[in-house]
Amino acid sequence: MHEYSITESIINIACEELKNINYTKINSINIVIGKLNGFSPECIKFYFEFLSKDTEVENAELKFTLKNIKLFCPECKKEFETDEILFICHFCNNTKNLSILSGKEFYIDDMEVQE
Amino acid sequence: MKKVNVQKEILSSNDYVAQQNKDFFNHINATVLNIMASPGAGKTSVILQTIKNLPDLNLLVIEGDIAGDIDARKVEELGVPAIQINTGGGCHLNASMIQAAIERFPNNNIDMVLIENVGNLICPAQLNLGEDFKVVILSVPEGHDKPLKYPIIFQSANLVLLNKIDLLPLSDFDMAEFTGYVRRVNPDVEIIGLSCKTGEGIEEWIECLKGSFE
Repeated sequence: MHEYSITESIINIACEELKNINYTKINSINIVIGKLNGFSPECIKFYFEFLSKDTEVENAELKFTLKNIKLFCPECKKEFETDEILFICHFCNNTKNLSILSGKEFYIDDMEVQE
Repeated sequence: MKKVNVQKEILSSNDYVAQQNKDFFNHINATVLNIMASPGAGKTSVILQTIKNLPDLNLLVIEGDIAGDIDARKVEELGVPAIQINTGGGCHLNASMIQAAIERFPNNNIDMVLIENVGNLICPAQLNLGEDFKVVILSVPEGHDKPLKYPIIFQSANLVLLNKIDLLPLSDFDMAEFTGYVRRVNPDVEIIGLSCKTGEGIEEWIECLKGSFE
């Protein structure tokens, strides 16, 4: 359900960007989403279908690039990727002060348009 | 075909309004808590206990619910102003709703704002409201495994309250497992066990709140 308002934001940002460029057709909106965000691309696509109706981005395809969770361990000074949202070092099992290098991203990277 | 560079944060419009809210709260010198939990975990009970135990502070409560104003009326019965937001189906509060609630403040002589988010362990975690602290409440009957099932909200928490600890002897809830699971998603967060029913642990919570003013 919370993807509804998120999808509205995506459409607003994309339509605002299109005001500044010359184009005939918009093919895709490319979104980067980190796995720590918890937003569902499938859900966003579902809402996009009807929320984009009668807007400039109607019929555009939403493409998602998923960013893995990447953490840095201050104990052993190593970086590692993980699919789990659990903060434990894969190398030394440290759980303290792990920093997030990626996984929280959520932005529109670019759009593909026909000139 | 041409690529148009955008590089815009999708949550930027919410974050922008959240920052405006935060600036306003700083300006009036109010500490703001965003209280999040499942339905029935005891968000309102914790708020009512907090009101009773902080009689010298000027409090204000913002209640987020899909429908109704039952909780707001309970708060008002204790003499504290309450502003009800009905999301009409929306599963979380967002920064614009808080901004609209600010317009309805009776005055700005407020030391602390307690925001009760919509009951839900999923999406409230993802939208900032302009709060100083995110407080996540879990209750004993929900089970000790929830931090692993809903890691994002526990990861976002500045403080975790475990409510209904008076039910511990009646349940299989494993306190050590729970603490371990919380620490795995949020290593340094403080966890306070309490019971709004018996009052156990309330003092520790209130001391912790007072500490946040210093």
